[in-house]
Order: sequence, then structure tokens, then C-alpha cells
Amino acid sequence: MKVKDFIRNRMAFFSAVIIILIVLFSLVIPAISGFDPAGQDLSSRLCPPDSVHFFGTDELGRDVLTRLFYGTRISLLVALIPTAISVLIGMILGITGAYCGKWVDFMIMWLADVTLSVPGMLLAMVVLYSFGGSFISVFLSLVILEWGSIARIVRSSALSIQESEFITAARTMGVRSLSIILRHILPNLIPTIIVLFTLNIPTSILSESALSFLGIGIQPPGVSLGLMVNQSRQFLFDMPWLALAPAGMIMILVLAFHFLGDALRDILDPRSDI
Amino acid sequence: MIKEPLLEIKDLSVSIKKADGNIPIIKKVNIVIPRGTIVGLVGESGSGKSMTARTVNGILPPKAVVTGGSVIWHGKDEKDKDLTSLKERELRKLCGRGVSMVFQEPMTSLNPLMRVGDQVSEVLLIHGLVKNRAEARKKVVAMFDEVGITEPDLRYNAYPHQLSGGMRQRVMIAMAVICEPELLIADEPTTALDVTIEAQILKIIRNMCTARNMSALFITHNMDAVAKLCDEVYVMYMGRVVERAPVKEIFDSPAHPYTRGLLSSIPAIGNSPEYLNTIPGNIPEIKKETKGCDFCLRCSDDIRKCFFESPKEVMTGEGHYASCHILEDKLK
Repeated sequence: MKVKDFIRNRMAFFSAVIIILIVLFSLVIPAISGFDPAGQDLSSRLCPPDSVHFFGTDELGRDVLTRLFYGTRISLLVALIPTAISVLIGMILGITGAYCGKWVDFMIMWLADVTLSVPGMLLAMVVLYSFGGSFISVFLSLVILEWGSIARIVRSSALSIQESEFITAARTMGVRSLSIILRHILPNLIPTIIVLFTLNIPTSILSESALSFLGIGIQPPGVSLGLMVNQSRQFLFDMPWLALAPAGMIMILVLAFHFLGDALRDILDPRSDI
Repeated sequence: MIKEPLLEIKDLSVSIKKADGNIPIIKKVNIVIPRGTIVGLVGESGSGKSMTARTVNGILPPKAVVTGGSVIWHGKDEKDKDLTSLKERELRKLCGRGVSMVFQEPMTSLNPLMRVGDQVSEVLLIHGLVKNRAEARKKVVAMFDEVGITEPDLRYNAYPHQLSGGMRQRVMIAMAVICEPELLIADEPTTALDVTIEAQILKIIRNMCTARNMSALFITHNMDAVAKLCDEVYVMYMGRVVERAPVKEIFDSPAHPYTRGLLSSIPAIGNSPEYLNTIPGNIPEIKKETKGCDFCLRCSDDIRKCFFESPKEVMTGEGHYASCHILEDKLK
């Protein structure tokens, strides 16, 4: 049923196809293009797009197309892993808070509020400055940025599920807390969690790009979309393709994930079933 | 013949905690459920009947606290246990085995994402009554058959939304009875169903109780259902039991004015259709402990005393007790 809905929903289907294509390209193109994303060729610096370099070359003569998809690969990785981690953390803490209530709930929500009340970018910068611009610290800063809002949303959904009679019924039958959570609450939360996951990916992509653009995210010789935009700043008017390629890619990715998330929310909403 | 009691609710008081003091919702309620009997608990919405039942298996809302009294359980395995003082874990172990519950709303009391058969099996597996899933399935299918689910083997794999309200309520009953509990609490199990299904469900509950010598606490506001199902009746009003009697007595000679009001509110064929008998007024707002009879404001024949003094329970027949000043005066 749901799969049919998904295919019928044009926005969802189209976005999913775009995302799959980008993922495929980012895996394949850096391998078959024949260029090394970090390989310099000073004899052909700043070439405009031609038949050898489809998107031209940058100031060190590196192939922009190869770098673009290599950067996309990194950006996707940086978007997916921290999002998955923050959804996992938010889910565990949100459910725990909702189920235990009392001071446990209070502490978790207080912690979430604290991280939400500090400007996210500032917090991420603090983390990145103190741990240096490695992969791990980018991951860490993105998780800190995102878990709070996810925990809040999961908690409120879990609270409303917990109020359902079937949870009370399960309790009166003597079902243990852990299996109430795993077998009765969690499965009912899955639609929420899927939507949260898809909608948080674009946020992660944007945050990573912003951090790299500011020069505190992924460091050269690493490649990422934000970093490419940063490096192309000085050639913006003379060689616009250097900035347009990564910026366009960021836009397409973010939009695709957004549309996918929105469509999934519509499809998975049980009220739309009737 | 006096039957051996299974559950004794003694002087039970429950209050809701509020910032400006506690609001009593159950006031010194005494209920005895003998073995193998179906006890009906009737009253208007808000009279505290559901809360009384929820106290028994410890699913009171978090704000409600037991402020006095006890719920004594005389089960097969656990003798003379006070359920209100048990720890959560011990209580959960007992519930499902000893006491189980059927809820009012069959639409929301089943997990929408689990096959109904698996949900019933889960209970068996939790209490370790079967060795494996296959054995559980066999038992569940047999139970489905017993509660009148057609094609039980097929229905085992159904999701709740594929079943009708009556079928879902049958599943709930199967789930409640499958562990062979000694006490079944049914909290308005037929309110959400239509009349023909109601009759069937009542019959199933009756048969289950007789076949297993199971007791039941049947909560309802439907006097018709009480007449069909119950052996004894407790009438609750504003958190107090105002009258208790064997079922025949209640219908033949209702003593308390509130019970009389309830009975005369049943519409009957032949009465003028423009006029529907009701009890005047509403349940007054529950405030702090009040003096006097709770019913005095709605009573048709109140006397001065009713406003100042709480009435005591008086015996008006065999096993028939009511709390009313007027009765007290009459009997003197």
C-alpha cells in the first residue's frame, strides 16, 4: 500500500530518483573520470568547461567535476552519519523521557532546551575550534546541533502514544516496560522517525557546508561542497562555474531531501489512510 | 450460603492531588467480590466507578493517590495481599494472571501495528504459560473460537483495523481471559458497541465466568446490562457506594432515591415519548470533604438532616444495604 502511495506521489518519487542518481554518481564518477580530486595540474589552471573537463578546472588545475562528486560523497557522508546518530540519540532520550517521566524527563528536556537555546552555529564553532577541523569533530558538532529538537519531537509523539488505551492494556496484562517500549511504542513511532531523519539530512548538509565555507569544517586537502564554494570565492566573477557547481549541488540535494521528507510525512501520516 | 471472598475493597479512599489541596474522588468504598460471582458497579459518569476498578490493578492516573483503605486479594497463589501496597513489579506479575481487564474502547485498546493473534500470544508468553509461539498460537485460536470469532485461524493474522468493534472487543476478552484469571474487570465493555453486539458480548462474559468459576467486576451505567449479567450490584454516587444488593432486590425494591432515579430513567415502551424521565440536576462539582448526604441537592424528598449529616448504611433486606436518612427514619 505504502509503496504504491510512494510511487504515485510524484514529488516523492522524483526526489528519490534524483537522490539515488546523485549518490550513484558520487560513488562512480570520481572512480571513472580519470582525475584525482586532489591531483594538481598547474599547466591547465582555471580552464573553462570543455570536453576534457566538463565543469572546467580550479586554480590548481584540478578537475571540478571529479571534485564536485567527490565532495558530494563527503558531504553526504557528513550529512547521513551525524543525522543517524542524532536521530538515534534523540529517539532513545525522547522515549526514555516520555516513559520514565518525573525527574528523568525533566533532566533530558532541560538538557535539550539548553542546547536549543544556544545559537547552533556558535556551539558548533566552539566544538570545532576546541577539537580541530577533523571528521569526528564535524560529526560531533552536528550531533550537538540536532539531537535536542529530535528528542523533543520524539518525546511528544511518544507521550501521545503512551496515552493510548492499548499501552494501559498491555500494562495491566503484565507486559514489562522494556517490551512495552520496544514492541508497542517504538513501532508506532517509526513513521515520525523516518520523517525526522529525512528532514534533518538537508539541515546537516547545510550546516556542514556552512561550517566548511567558514573554514572550520572539513580542511583541505579534504574536499567538501562548502569548502569548494569557499575556495572559489575569489574567482566568483571571472570563473563563476567554480562556485556554481558546488552551490547548485547543495541546492539540489537540500531541495530533494526536503521534498522527500515532506512527501513521506504525507504518505506515512496514518490519518491520510482513511 | 456465604461465598468465599476473592477481592475485598475495604474503606478505600482515593484523592486527586492538586496544588490547593486534595480532591477526594473515592470516599471509603467497601466492595466484596465473592468467588464465581459477577458484581456490577453502576453509577453516572464521574461517580468514581472506573477509578475504583483502576485502583485494583494499579493503573490510576499519576495524579490520583490512594489515601486510605486497602484492596485485599485472596487469590489461589497469593493469600491476603493488599494490592495497594504492592510494588509495581509484583502487581504487574499478578495482573494478567490473577486480575485482568477489558476496556471500554475496543478501537484504541489494541496496538494498531500488531496482529491481534500475536498480541494475545504475547500475554501467554510473558506469563510463561506456553513453551513456544506455536503452542501459544494453538491456544489463542482455541480461545478465539470460544469467544465467538469466526474463522479464528484466519483472524489470528488480522490487524485491528481489519476487524469490527465487536470482533475487537472479543479479541480483548480473549486476551483478558487467556491466562485464566480469577477476576475479570470489565470497564464498560459494551458502551462503544451497538445493542445486538452488546447482548452477545454480555453472554460471552457470562459463559466465561461460569465455565471457569471466574469472578467479574462489571462496570457500567446501563441498568439493562446489569439485569442481564450481574449477581450483585453496587450503586455508586460521587465516590460513595450508596446502595448494594443482590440483583433481583435492586430491581424489585430499590431503596436509595438515587437508585430509584436511575431505574426510572430507563425509557420504556408505552411511556409518553415526549417525556423522558431523568434525575434532576447534575453531579455537583466535587470539592473538599462535604457535610451531609451527597445526593441531598438532587433528592426529591430530602429532610433537614440530609444537609448536615452523612447517612449511615442501613439494612433494608437480605444482603440489601443503602445509605439514606429517610430509610433510616422509616426503619426506626
